[in-house]
Amino acid sequence: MKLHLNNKEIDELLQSNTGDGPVKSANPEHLEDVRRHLKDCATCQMMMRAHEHAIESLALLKPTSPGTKGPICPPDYIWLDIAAGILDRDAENDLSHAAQCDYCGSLLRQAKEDFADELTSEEETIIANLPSSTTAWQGRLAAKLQDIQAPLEVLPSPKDRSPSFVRSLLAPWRLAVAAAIIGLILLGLRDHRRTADLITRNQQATAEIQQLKQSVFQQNTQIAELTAESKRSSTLAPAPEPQPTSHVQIASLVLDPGLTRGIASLKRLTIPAGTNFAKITLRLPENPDGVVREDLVTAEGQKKWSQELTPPESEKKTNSLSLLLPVYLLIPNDYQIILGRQTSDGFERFATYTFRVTR
Amino acid sequence: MLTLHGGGEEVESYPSISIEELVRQCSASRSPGAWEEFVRRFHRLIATVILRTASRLGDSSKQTVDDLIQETYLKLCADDFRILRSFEHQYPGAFSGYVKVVTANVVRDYFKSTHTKKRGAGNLEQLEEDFVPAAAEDSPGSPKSIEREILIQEIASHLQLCMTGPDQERNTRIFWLHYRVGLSARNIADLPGIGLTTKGVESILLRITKELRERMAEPKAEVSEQLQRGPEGFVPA
Repeated sequence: MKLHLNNKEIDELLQSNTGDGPVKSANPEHLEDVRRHLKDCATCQMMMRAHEHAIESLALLKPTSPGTKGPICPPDYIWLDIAAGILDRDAENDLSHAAQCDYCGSLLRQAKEDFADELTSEEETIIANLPSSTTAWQGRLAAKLQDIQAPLEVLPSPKDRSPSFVRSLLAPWRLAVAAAIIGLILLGLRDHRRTADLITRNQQATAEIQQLKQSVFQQNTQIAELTAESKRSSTLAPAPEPQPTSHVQIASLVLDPGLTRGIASLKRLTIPAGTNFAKITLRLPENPDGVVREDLVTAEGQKKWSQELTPPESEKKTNSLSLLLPVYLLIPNDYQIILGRQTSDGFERFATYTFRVTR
Repeated sequence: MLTLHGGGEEVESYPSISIEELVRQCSASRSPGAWEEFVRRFHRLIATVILRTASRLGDSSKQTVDDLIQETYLKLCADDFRILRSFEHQYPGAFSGYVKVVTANVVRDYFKSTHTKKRGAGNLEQLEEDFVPAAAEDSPGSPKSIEREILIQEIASHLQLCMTGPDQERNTRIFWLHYRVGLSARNIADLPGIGLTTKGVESILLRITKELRERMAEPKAEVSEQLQRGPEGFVPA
Protein backbone atom coordinates (compact mmCIF):
# COMPACT_ATOMS: atom_id res chain seq x y z
CA MET A 1 0.00 0.00 0.00
CA LYS A 2 1.34 3.43 -0.94
CA LEU A 3 2.06 5.95 1.83
CA HIS A 4 0.23 9.29 1.77
CA LEU A 5 1.07 11.75 -0.98
CA ASN A 6 3.92 14.12 -0.30
CA ASN A 7 4.02 17.79 -1.36
CA LYS A 8 6.03 17.00 -4.49
CA GLU A 9 3.41 14.53 -5.67
CA ILE A 10 0.59 16.93 -4.89
CA ASP A 11 2.47 19.58 -6.82
CA GLU A 12 2.79 17.29 -9.84
CA LEU A 13 -0.88 16.38 -9.67
CA LEU A 14 -1.93 20.04 -9.49
CA GLN A 15 0.30 20.97 -12.41
CA SER A 16 -0.97 18.09 -14.52
CA ASN A 17 -4.60 18.93 -13.64
CA THR A 18 -4.39 22.62 -14.39
CA GLY A 19 -1.80 22.44 -17.16
CA ASP A 20 -0.15 25.33 -15.32
CA GLY A 21 3.53 24.91 -16.02
CA PRO A 22 5.51 21.85 -17.05
CA VAL A 23 4.96 18.57 -15.22
CA LYS A 24 8.32 17.64 -13.85
CA SER A 25 7.48 14.03 -13.07
CA ALA A 26 9.91 11.89 -15.01
CA ASN A 27 7.71 8.87 -14.60
CA PRO A 28 4.13 8.93 -15.93
CA GLU A 29 3.47 5.52 -14.32
CA HIS A 30 4.29 6.99 -10.93
CA LEU A 31 1.79 9.78 -11.56
CA GLU A 32 -0.82 7.14 -12.36
CA ASP A 33 -0.03 5.38 -9.05
CA VAL A 34 -0.45 8.72 -7.29
CA ARG A 35 -3.84 9.23 -8.97
CA ARG A 36 -5.01 5.75 -7.99
CA HIS A 37 -3.98 6.33 -4.39
CA LEU A 38 -5.78 9.66 -4.31
CA LYS A 39 -8.97 8.03 -5.53
CA ASP A 40 -9.06 5.69 -2.55
CA CYS A 41 -7.52 7.79 0.23
CA ALA A 42 -9.73 10.24 2.11
CA THR A 43 -6.78 11.86 3.90
CA CYS A 44 -5.00 12.64 0.66
CA GLN A 45 -8.24 13.86 -0.92
CA MET A 46 -8.55 16.29 1.98
CA MET A 47 -4.94 17.40 1.54
CA MET A 48 -5.48 17.84 -2.19
CA ARG A 49 -8.64 19.87 -1.54
CA ALA A 50 -6.69 22.07 0.92
CA HIS A 51 -4.06 22.77 -1.74
CA GLU A 52 -6.72 23.58 -4.33
CA HIS A 53 -8.43 25.84 -1.82
CA ALA A 54 -5.14 27.71 -1.25
CA ILE A 55 -4.83 28.29 -5.00
CA GLU A 56 -8.43 29.54 -5.14
CA SER A 57 -7.69 31.91 -2.23
CA LEU A 58 -4.80 33.47 -4.16
CA ALA A 59 -7.19 34.24 -7.01
CA LEU A 60 -9.40 36.17 -4.56
CA LEU A 61 -6.62 38.64 -3.80
CA LYS A 62 -7.40 40.67 -6.93
CA PRO A 63 -9.73 43.57 -6.13
CA THR A 64 -13.15 43.62 -7.76
CA SER A 65 -13.32 47.42 -7.68
CA PRO A 66 -10.57 49.98 -8.33
CA GLY A 67 -10.44 51.19 -4.71
CA THR A 68 -10.34 54.76 -3.45
CA LYS A 69 -7.45 57.17 -3.27
CA GLY A 70 -5.98 57.55 0.21
CA PRO A 71 -4.01 60.35 1.83
CA ILE A 72 -0.66 58.63 1.35
CA CYS A 73 -1.17 57.68 -2.32
CA PRO A 74 1.38 59.31 -4.65
CA PRO A 75 0.08 61.47 -7.52
CA ASP A 76 -1.61 59.51 -10.33
CA TYR A 77 0.88 60.52 -13.04
CA ILE A 78 3.62 58.55 -11.26
CA TRP A 79 2.10 55.28 -12.50
CA LEU A 80 2.31 56.34 -16.15
CA ASP A 81 5.98 57.27 -15.67
CA ILE A 82 6.74 53.99 -13.89
CA ALA A 83 4.91 51.91 -16.51
CA ALA A 84 6.78 53.70 -19.30
CA GLY A 85 10.09 53.31 -17.46
CA ILE A 86 10.86 57.03 -17.33
CA LEU A 87 10.49 57.83 -13.64
CA ASP A 88 13.45 60.00 -12.63
CA ARG A 89 13.64 58.73 -9.06
CA ASP A 90 13.79 55.46 -7.16
CA ALA A 91 10.52 53.59 -7.75
CA GLU A 92 10.86 50.94 -5.02
CA ASN A 93 8.74 52.73 -2.43
CA ASP A 94 6.09 53.56 -5.01
CA LEU A 95 5.96 49.93 -6.18
CA SER A 96 5.68 48.69 -2.58
CA HIS A 97 2.78 51.11 -2.14
CA ALA A 98 1.06 49.95 -5.35
CA ALA A 99 1.43 46.34 -4.20
CA GLN A 100 -0.64 47.16 -1.09
CA CYS A 101 -3.07 49.76 -2.48
CA ASP A 102 -6.00 48.77 -4.71
CA TYR A 103 -6.34 52.31 -6.12
CA CYS A 104 -2.70 52.79 -7.15
CA GLY A 105 -2.32 49.11 -8.09
CA SER A 106 -5.16 49.39 -10.60
CA LEU A 107 -3.64 52.57 -12.11
CA LEU A 108 -0.30 50.81 -12.50
CA ARG A 109 -1.95 47.76 -14.10
CA GLN A 110 -3.96 49.93 -16.50
CA ALA A 111 -0.84 51.86 -17.50
CA LYS A 112 1.13 48.65 -18.09
CA GLU A 113 -1.73 47.25 -20.18
CA ASP A 114 -2.01 50.45 -22.23
CA PHE A 115 1.75 50.62 -22.82
CA ALA A 116 2.33 46.94 -23.65
CA ASP A 117 4.36 46.52 -26.84
CA GLU A 118 2.56 43.42 -28.12
CA LEU A 119 -0.67 43.93 -30.03
CA THR A 120 -3.55 41.49 -30.17
CA SER A 121 -4.62 40.42 -33.66
CA GLU A 122 -7.78 42.52 -33.20
CA GLU A 123 -5.70 45.61 -32.39
CA GLU A 124 -3.44 44.90 -35.38
CA THR A 125 -6.48 44.85 -37.66
CA ILE A 126 -8.02 48.03 -36.23
CA ILE A 127 -4.76 49.97 -36.50
CA ALA A 128 -4.05 48.69 -40.01
CA ASN A 129 -7.49 49.94 -41.09
CA LEU A 130 -7.11 53.44 -39.64
CA PRO A 131 -6.91 56.21 -42.25
CA SER A 132 -3.81 57.41 -40.36
CA SER A 133 -2.03 54.17 -41.25
CA THR A 134 -1.88 55.13 -44.92
CA THR A 135 1.28 56.66 -46.37
CA ALA A 136 -0.74 59.57 -47.78
CA TRP A 137 -2.17 60.53 -44.35
CA GLN A 138 1.25 60.26 -42.73
CA GLY A 139 2.83 62.30 -45.53
CA ARG A 140 0.27 65.08 -45.04
CA LEU A 141 0.86 65.09 -41.28
CA ALA A 142 4.65 65.11 -41.77
CA ALA A 143 4.33 68.14 -44.06
CA LYS A 144 2.10 69.88 -41.51
CA LEU A 145 4.56 69.21 -38.68
CA GLN A 146 7.48 70.34 -40.78
CA ASP A 147 5.67 73.61 -41.55
CA ILE A 148 5.16 74.48 -37.90
CA GLN A 149 7.38 77.57 -37.59
CA ALA A 150 9.43 76.65 -40.67
CA PRO A 151 12.66 78.67 -40.84
CA LEU A 152 12.58 81.70 -43.11
CA GLU A 153 14.03 81.34 -46.58
CA VAL A 154 17.51 82.86 -46.88
CA LEU A 155 17.68 85.73 -49.31
CA PRO A 156 20.53 85.90 -51.89
CA SER A 157 23.52 88.10 -50.98
CA PRO A 158 23.43 91.83 -52.06
CA LYS A 159 26.08 91.40 -54.78
CA ASP A 160 23.74 89.03 -56.59
CA ARG A 161 20.92 91.51 -56.56
CA SER A 162 20.09 93.31 -59.81
CA PRO A 163 17.67 96.26 -60.39
CA SER A 164 15.15 93.76 -61.67
CA PHE A 165 15.62 91.91 -58.43
CA VAL A 166 14.78 95.11 -56.49
CA ARG A 167 11.72 95.64 -58.68
CA SER A 168 10.68 92.09 -58.15
CA LEU A 169 11.07 92.67 -54.40
CA LEU A 170 8.47 95.43 -54.66
CA ALA A 171 5.97 93.18 -56.40
CA PRO A 172 2.58 93.29 -54.61
CA TRP A 173 2.58 89.65 -53.54
CA ARG A 174 6.06 90.05 -52.03
CA LEU A 175 4.89 93.14 -50.15
CA ALA A 176 1.92 91.20 -48.88
CA VAL A 177 4.19 88.39 -47.68
CA ALA A 178 6.51 90.95 -46.04
CA ALA A 179 3.54 92.56 -44.28
CA ALA A 180 2.43 89.16 -43.07
CA ILE A 181 5.93 88.41 -41.77
CA ILE A 182 6.10 91.78 -39.99
CA GLY A 183 2.68 91.08 -38.51
CA LEU A 184 3.89 87.71 -37.28
CA ILE A 185 7.00 89.30 -35.76
CA LEU A 186 4.84 91.90 -33.98
CA LEU A 187 2.57 89.14 -32.72
CA GLY A 188 5.68 87.30 -31.56
CA LEU A 189 6.88 90.42 -29.70
CA ARG A 190 3.48 90.76 -28.07
CA ASP A 191 3.66 87.10 -27.02
CA HIS A 192 7.16 87.71 -25.74
CA ARG A 193 5.90 90.61 -23.59
CA ARG A 194 3.06 88.42 -22.32
CA THR A 195 5.53 85.66 -21.51
CA ALA A 196 7.72 88.14 -19.62
CA ASP A 197 4.65 89.32 -17.72
CA LEU A 198 3.70 85.75 -16.87
CA ILE A 199 7.25 85.03 -15.68
CA THR A 200 7.11 88.08 -13.37
CA ARG A 201 3.75 86.94 -12.01
CA ASN A 202 5.11 83.45 -11.53
CA GLN A 203 8.06 84.85 -9.55
CA GLN A 204 5.69 86.89 -7.39
CA ALA A 205 3.55 83.83 -6.75
CA THR A 206 6.63 81.78 -5.85
CA ALA A 207 7.67 84.47 -3.36
CA GLU A 208 4.17 84.43 -1.84
CA ILE A 209 4.28 80.64 -1.56
CA GLN A 210 7.62 80.91 0.23
CA GLN A 211 6.10 83.41 2.67
CA LEU A 212 3.12 81.13 3.28
CA LYS A 213 5.44 78.14 3.81
CA GLN A 214 7.39 80.21 6.34
CA SER A 215 4.16 81.10 8.09
CA VAL A 216 3.02 77.45 8.19
CA PHE A 217 6.43 76.47 9.54
CA GLN A 218 6.13 79.05 12.33
CA GLN A 219 2.65 77.83 13.19
CA ASN A 220 3.80 74.20 13.22
CA THR A 221 6.59 75.17 15.59
CA GLN A 222 4.02 76.85 17.82
CA ILE A 223 1.85 73.71 17.73
CA ALA A 224 4.82 71.51 18.55
CA GLU A 225 5.68 73.76 21.51
CA LEU A 226 2.12 73.71 22.78
CA THR A 227 1.90 69.91 22.30
CA ALA A 228 5.14 69.45 24.21
CA GLU A 229 3.88 71.77 26.95
CA SER A 230 0.61 69.88 27.14
CA LYS A 231 2.44 66.56 27.35
CA ARG A 232 4.79 67.88 30.03
CA SER A 233 1.87 69.05 32.11
CA SER A 234 0.05 65.71 31.70
CA THR A 235 3.23 63.88 32.79
CA LEU A 236 3.63 65.96 35.90
CA ALA A 237 0.01 66.16 36.89
CA PRO A 238 -2.31 63.79 35.06
CA ALA A 239 -5.60 65.41 36.02
CA PRO A 240 -5.69 69.00 34.76
CA GLU A 241 -7.20 69.69 31.35
CA PRO A 242 -5.64 72.72 29.60
CA GLN A 243 -7.67 75.64 30.85
CA PRO A 244 -8.51 78.52 28.62
CA THR A 245 -6.36 81.47 29.60
CA SER A 246 -6.66 85.05 28.69
CA HIS A 247 -4.17 84.43 25.88
CA VAL A 248 -5.06 81.05 24.44
CA GLN A 249 -8.57 79.64 24.03
CA ILE A 250 -8.80 75.87 23.52
CA ALA A 251 -11.82 73.82 22.39
CA SER A 252 -11.64 70.12 23.21
CA LEU A 253 -13.17 66.87 21.99
CA VAL A 254 -12.69 63.19 22.85
CA LEU A 255 -13.01 60.70 19.98
CA ASP A 256 -13.39 56.93 19.82
CA PRO A 257 -11.96 54.99 16.89
CA GLY A 258 -14.06 53.54 14.07
CA LEU A 259 -16.29 54.77 11.32
CA THR A 260 -19.49 56.55 12.28
CA ARG A 261 -22.80 55.23 11.03
CA GLY A 262 -25.13 58.09 10.15
CA ILE A 263 -25.06 61.80 10.79
CA ALA A 264 -26.66 61.62 14.24
CA SER A 265 -23.82 59.71 15.86
CA LEU A 266 -21.14 61.96 14.35
CA LYS A 267 -19.18 63.73 17.09
CA ARG A 268 -19.20 67.50 16.78
CA LEU A 269 -16.53 69.97 17.69
CA THR A 270 -18.03 73.40 18.15
CA ILE A 271 -15.46 76.15 17.98
CA PRO A 272 -16.58 79.37 19.69
CA ALA A 273 -15.36 82.72 18.43
CA GLY A 274 -11.95 83.67 19.79
CA THR A 275 -10.75 80.08 20.12
CA ASN A 276 -7.14 79.55 19.08
CA PHE A 277 -6.63 75.80 19.31
CA ALA A 278 -8.60 72.58 19.37
CA LYS A 279 -7.39 69.78 21.61
CA ILE A 280 -8.54 66.40 20.31
CA THR A 281 -8.04 63.34 22.48
CA LEU A 282 -8.04 60.07 20.58
CA ARG A 283 -8.89 56.89 22.47
CA LEU A 284 -6.60 54.21 21.10
CA PRO A 285 -7.80 50.68 20.27
CA GLU A 286 -4.33 49.43 21.25
CA ASN A 287 -1.00 50.89 22.25
CA PRO A 288 1.21 51.31 19.21
CA ASP A 289 4.94 50.74 19.54
CA GLY A 290 7.27 53.27 17.99
CA VAL A 291 6.41 56.22 15.80
CA VAL A 292 2.79 57.11 15.03
CA ARG A 293 1.53 59.33 12.23
CA GLU A 294 -1.57 61.50 12.58
CA ASP A 295 -3.24 62.71 9.38
CA LEU A 296 -6.14 65.17 9.39
CA VAL A 297 -8.18 64.63 6.22
CA THR A 298 -11.33 66.40 5.04
CA ALA A 299 -14.44 64.54 3.88
CA GLU A 300 -13.28 65.25 0.33
CA GLY A 301 -10.03 63.41 1.01
CA GLN A 302 -7.81 66.50 1.18
CA LYS A 303 -5.00 66.20 3.71
CA LYS A 304 -4.98 69.32 5.91
CA TRP A 305 -2.33 68.50 8.47
CA SER A 306 0.01 65.72 9.47
CA GLN A 307 2.58 64.93 12.15
CA GLU A 308 4.70 62.01 13.26
CA LEU A 309 5.51 61.42 16.89
CA THR A 310 6.36 58.82 19.50
CA PRO A 311 3.47 58.70 22.00
CA PRO A 312 4.66 59.71 25.50
CA GLU A 313 4.52 57.07 28.24
CA SER A 314 1.94 59.07 30.21
CA GLU A 315 -0.54 58.85 27.31
CA LYS A 316 0.26 55.19 26.64
CA LYS A 317 -0.92 54.43 30.18
CA THR A 318 -4.29 55.99 29.50
CA ASN A 319 -4.57 54.43 26.01
CA SER A 320 -5.04 57.82 24.46
CA LEU A 321 -3.26 60.36 22.32
CA SER A 322 -3.85 64.11 22.31
CA LEU A 323 -3.23 66.55 19.53
CA LEU A 324 -3.48 70.29 19.40
CA LEU A 325 -4.62 71.85 16.17
CA PRO A 326 -4.85 75.52 15.27
CA VAL A 327 -8.50 76.29 14.60
CA TYR A 328 -7.78 78.01 11.29
CA LEU A 329 -7.30 74.48 9.92
CA LEU A 330 -10.75 73.44 11.05
CA ILE A 331 -13.26 75.24 8.87
CA PRO A 332 -16.79 73.80 9.22
CA ASN A 333 -16.73 70.40 7.49
CA ASP A 334 -16.52 66.68 8.25
CA TYR A 335 -13.05 65.38 9.04
CA GLN A 336 -11.19 62.16 9.63
CA ILE A 337 -8.10 61.69 11.71
CA ILE A 338 -6.16 58.70 10.45
CA LEU A 339 -3.64 57.13 12.78
CA GLY A 340 -0.87 55.11 11.21
CA ARG A 341 1.87 53.11 12.90
CA GLN A 342 5.32 52.71 11.45
CA THR A 343 6.14 49.46 9.69
CA SER A 344 9.07 48.45 7.53
CA ASP A 345 7.07 49.57 4.45
CA GLY A 346 6.06 52.98 5.80
CA PHE A 347 2.94 53.74 7.82
CA GLU A 348 0.08 51.30 8.22
CA ARG A 349 -3.37 52.63 9.16
CA PHE A 350 -4.58 51.30 12.51
CA ALA A 351 -7.36 53.64 13.62
CA THR A 352 -9.72 56.19 12.09
CA TYR A 353 -11.71 58.89 13.89
CA THR A 354 -14.53 60.89 12.37
CA PHE A 355 -15.95 64.21 13.54
CA ARG A 356 -17.71 67.34 12.33
CA VAL A 357 -16.62 70.91 12.96
CA THR A 358 -19.23 73.60 13.51
CA ARG A 359 -18.79 77.24 14.47
CA MET B 1 15.29 56.99 -48.38
CA LEU B 2 18.30 59.19 -48.99
CA THR B 3 18.58 62.83 -48.10
CA LEU B 4 21.13 65.58 -47.63
CA HIS B 5 21.49 67.53 -44.44
CA GLY B 6 23.94 69.80 -42.67
CA GLY B 7 26.23 71.32 -45.28
CA GLY B 8 25.00 68.94 -47.91
CA GLU B 9 28.01 66.65 -47.49
CA GLU B 10 26.48 64.02 -45.25
CA VAL B 11 24.19 61.45 -46.79
CA GLU B 12 21.81 59.77 -44.39
CA SER B 13 19.28 57.03 -44.76
CA TYR B 14 16.43 57.93 -42.38
CA PRO B 15 15.06 54.47 -41.70
CA SER B 16 18.44 53.39 -40.31
CA ILE B 17 19.28 56.35 -38.06
CA SER B 18 18.85 56.18 -34.30
CA ILE B 19 15.81 57.71 -32.61
CA GLU B 20 18.10 60.24 -30.92
CA GLU B 21 19.46 61.43 -34.27
CA LEU B 22 16.02 61.39 -35.87
CA VAL B 23 14.58 63.55 -33.08
CA ARG B 24 17.51 65.94 -33.42
CA GLN B 25 17.00 66.26 -37.16
CA CYS B 26 13.25 66.78 -36.86
CA SER B 27 13.70 69.63 -34.40
CA ALA B 28 16.75 71.20 -36.04
CA SER B 29 16.71 70.76 -39.80
CA ARG B 30 13.00 70.03 -40.15
CA SER B 31 13.60 68.15 -43.35
CA PRO B 32 10.49 66.50 -44.84
CA GLY B 33 12.22 63.11 -44.94
CA ALA B 34 12.98 63.23 -41.23
CA TRP B 35 9.38 64.07 -40.36
CA GLU B 36 8.00 61.35 -42.62
CA GLU B 37 10.26 58.84 -40.88
CA PHE B 38 9.32 60.19 -37.45
CA VAL B 39 5.58 59.80 -38.17
CA ARG B 40 6.14 56.36 -39.73
CA ARG B 41 8.25 55.13 -36.82
CA PHE B 42 5.98 56.31 -33.98
CA HIS B 43 2.59 55.76 -35.63
CA ARG B 44 2.09 52.22 -34.38
CA LEU B 45 3.18 53.06 -30.80
CA ILE B 46 0.99 56.17 -30.58
CA ALA B 47 -2.01 54.51 -32.27
CA THR B 48 -1.80 51.52 -29.90
CA VAL B 49 -1.73 53.61 -26.73
CA ILE B 50 -4.60 55.77 -28.02
CA LEU B 51 -6.69 52.79 -29.10
CA ARG B 52 -6.36 51.07 -25.72
CA THR B 53 -6.85 54.14 -23.55
CA ALA B 54 -9.73 55.46 -25.67
CA SER B 55 -11.43 52.03 -25.64
CA ARG B 56 -11.28 52.00 -21.86
CA LEU B 57 -12.62 55.56 -21.65
CA GLY B 58 -15.51 54.94 -24.02
CA ASP B 59 -14.86 56.07 -27.62
CA SER B 60 -12.36 54.35 -29.88
CA SER B 61 -13.94 55.24 -33.23
CA LYS B 62 -11.53 55.64 -36.15
CA GLN B 63 -12.22 59.36 -36.30
CA THR B 64 -11.46 59.89 -32.61
CA VAL B 65 -8.31 57.74 -32.74
CA ASP B 66 -6.98 59.58 -35.81
CA ASP B 67 -7.77 62.99 -34.32
CA LEU B 68 -5.95 62.04 -31.14
CA ILE B 69 -2.95 60.71 -33.12
CA GLN B 70 -2.65 64.09 -34.84
CA GLU B 71 -3.14 65.88 -31.52
CA THR B 72 -0.30 63.85 -29.98
CA TYR B 73 2.15 64.84 -32.73
CA LEU B 74 1.13 68.48 -32.37
CA LYS B 75 1.71 68.20 -28.62
CA LEU B 76 5.19 66.81 -29.26
CA CYS B 77 5.91 69.78 -31.53
CA ALA B 78 4.33 72.40 -29.29
CA ASP B 79 6.20 75.42 -28.09
CA ASP B 80 8.59 75.43 -31.04
CA PHE B 81 9.57 71.76 -30.63
CA ARG B 82 10.62 72.35 -27.02
CA ILE B 83 10.08 68.69 -26.07
CA LEU B 84 12.11 67.39 -28.99
CA ARG B 85 14.87 69.94 -28.53
CA SER B 86 15.29 69.51 -24.79
CA PHE B 87 14.77 65.75 -24.45
CA GLU B 88 17.72 63.94 -22.90
CA HIS B 89 18.12 60.43 -24.25
CA GLN B 90 19.50 59.00 -21.03
CA TYR B 91 18.98 55.34 -21.92
CA PRO B 92 17.60 53.27 -24.81
CA GLY B 93 13.84 53.45 -25.04
CA ALA B 94 13.60 56.66 -23.00
CA PHE B 95 12.06 58.65 -25.84
CA SER B 96 9.55 55.91 -26.71
CA GLY B 97 8.56 55.79 -23.02
CA TYR B 98 8.15 59.53 -23.03
CA VAL B 99 5.97 59.42 -26.18
CA LYS B 100 3.76 56.81 -24.48
CA VAL B 101 3.21 59.08 -21.48
CA VAL B 102 2.51 62.15 -23.66
CA THR B 103 0.03 60.09 -25.71
CA ALA B 104 -1.80 58.74 -22.66
CA ASN B 105 -2.09 62.28 -21.27
CA VAL B 106 -3.46 63.63 -24.58
CA VAL B 107 -6.20 60.97 -24.51
CA ARG B 108 -7.05 61.54 -20.86
CA ASP B 109 -7.21 65.31 -21.31
CA TYR B 110 -9.49 64.86 -24.32
CA PHE B 111 -11.93 62.61 -22.46
CA LYS B 112 -11.80 64.78 -19.36
CA SER B 113 -12.81 67.84 -21.37
CA THR B 114 -15.48 65.90 -23.30
CA HIS B 115 -16.89 64.55 -20.06
CA THR B 116 -16.93 68.01 -18.48
CA LYS B 117 -18.77 69.46 -21.49
CA LYS B 118 -21.34 66.66 -21.41
CA ARG B 119 -22.03 67.08 -17.72
CA GLY B 120 -22.18 70.85 -18.02
CA ALA B 121 -19.42 72.58 -16.13
CA GLY B 122 -20.53 74.57 -13.14
CA ASN B 123 -23.84 72.77 -12.56
CA LEU B 124 -23.84 71.44 -9.03
CA GLU B 125 -26.39 69.11 -7.52
CA GLN B 126 -27.60 69.82 -4.00
CA LEU B 127 -27.60 66.78 -1.71
CA GLU B 128 -29.62 66.47 1.49
CA GLU B 129 -27.51 66.68 4.63
CA ASP B 130 -28.51 63.22 5.79
CA PHE B 131 -28.04 61.64 2.37
CA VAL B 132 -26.23 58.34 2.75
CA PRO B 133 -25.30 56.71 -0.56
CA ALA B 134 -26.02 53.02 -0.91
CA ALA B 135 -22.87 50.99 -0.36
CA ALA B 136 -21.68 48.85 -3.24
CA GLU B 137 -21.29 45.14 -2.62
CA ASP B 138 -17.52 45.42 -2.57
CA SER B 139 -17.20 48.91 -1.07
CA PRO B 140 -14.92 49.35 1.96
CA GLY B 141 -16.61 47.88 5.01
CA SER B 142 -18.83 45.47 3.09
CA PRO B 143 -18.71 41.78 4.14
CA LYS B 144 -16.96 40.90 0.88
CA SER B 145 -14.30 43.55 1.38
CA ILE B 146 -13.76 42.54 5.02
CA GLU B 147 -13.35 38.89 3.98
CA ARG B 148 -10.75 39.95 1.44
CA GLU B 149 -8.89 42.04 4.03
CA ILE B 150 -8.77 39.04 6.36
CA LEU B 151 -7.50 36.84 3.53
CA ILE B 152 -4.81 39.41 2.70
CA GLN B 153 -3.66 39.48 6.32
CA GLU B 154 -3.67 35.68 6.52
CA ILE B 155 -1.60 35.35 3.37
CA ALA B 156 0.74 38.14 4.48
CA SER B 157 1.47 36.28 7.71
CA HIS B 158 2.16 33.02 5.82
CA LEU B 159 4.27 34.94 3.33
CA GLN B 160 6.42 36.39 6.08
CA LEU B 161 7.32 32.86 7.15
CA CYS B 162 8.11 31.80 3.57
CA MET B 163 10.47 34.69 2.85
CA THR B 164 14.07 34.76 3.98
CA GLY B 165 17.30 36.28 2.76
CA PRO B 166 18.38 39.63 1.38
CA ASP B 167 15.77 39.69 -1.42
CA GLN B 168 12.86 39.23 0.97
CA GLU B 169 11.49 42.72 0.40
CA ARG B 170 11.75 42.56 -3.39
CA ASN B 171 10.23 39.06 -3.54
CA THR B 172 7.31 40.11 -1.33
CA ARG B 173 6.71 43.06 -3.67
CA ILE B 174 6.78 40.72 -6.68
CA PHE B 175 4.26 38.39 -5.04
CA TRP B 176 1.72 41.15 -4.30
CA LEU B 177 2.23 42.85 -7.67
CA HIS B 178 1.33 39.56 -9.33
CA TYR B 179 -1.48 38.26 -7.15
CA ARG B 180 -3.03 41.48 -5.86
CA VAL B 181 -2.35 44.02 -8.61
CA GLY B 182 -2.61 41.43 -11.39
CA LEU B 183 0.65 42.15 -13.24
CA SER B 184 2.15 39.39 -15.36
CA ALA B 185 5.71 38.16 -14.75
CA ARG B 186 6.82 40.05 -17.86
CA ASN B 187 5.25 43.30 -16.73
CA ILE B 188 6.87 42.94 -13.31
CA ALA B 189 10.28 42.25 -14.86
CA ASP B 190 9.92 45.46 -16.90
CA LEU B 191 9.36 47.61 -13.81
CA PRO B 192 12.21 49.82 -12.59
CA GLY B 193 14.22 48.42 -9.69
CA ILE B 194 13.12 44.78 -10.06
CA GLY B 195 16.34 43.78 -11.84
CA LEU B 196 15.14 40.38 -13.04
CA THR B 197 14.27 38.77 -16.34
CA THR B 198 10.76 37.44 -17.00
CA LYS B 199 12.09 33.92 -16.31
CA GLY B 200 13.58 35.14 -13.03
CA VAL B 201 10.26 36.63 -11.90
CA GLU B 202 8.38 33.47 -12.97
CA SER B 203 10.79 31.31 -11.01
CA ILE B 204 10.37 33.43 -7.85
CA LEU B 205 6.58 33.37 -8.19
CA LEU B 206 6.56 29.60 -8.67
CA ARG B 207 8.72 29.01 -5.60
CA ILE B 208 6.81 31.40 -3.34
CA THR B 209 3.43 30.10 -4.50
CA LYS B 210 4.47 26.49 -3.84
CA GLU B 211 5.78 27.25 -0.35
CA LEU B 212 2.77 29.39 0.46
CA ARG B 213 0.32 26.79 -0.79
CA GLU B 214 1.96 24.12 1.34
CA ARG B 215 1.79 26.34 4.42
CA MET B 216 -1.84 27.28 3.79
CA ALA B 217 -2.78 23.64 3.21
CA GLU B 218 -1.13 22.41 6.41
CA PRO B 219 -3.83 20.92 8.64
CA LYS B 220 -4.70 23.03 11.66
CA ALA B 221 -3.71 21.66 15.09
CA GLU B 222 -7.16 20.24 15.95
CA VAL B 223 -7.43 18.54 12.58
CA SER B 224 -4.08 16.84 13.12
CA GLU B 225 -5.28 15.66 16.52
CA GLN B 226 -8.44 14.25 15.00
CA LEU B 227 -6.42 12.43 12.39
CA GLN B 228 -4.36 10.77 15.09
CA ARG B 229 -7.36 9.89 17.29
CA GLY B 230 -8.47 7.23 14.86
CA PRO B 231 -12.13 6.23 14.45
CA GLU B 232 -13.59 9.77 14.71
CA GLY B 233 -11.16 11.22 12.19
CA PHE B 234 -9.92 10.09 8.81
CA VAL B 235 -8.46 6.63 8.70
CA PRO B 236 -5.05 6.56 7.09
CA ALA B 237 -5.06 4.47 3.92
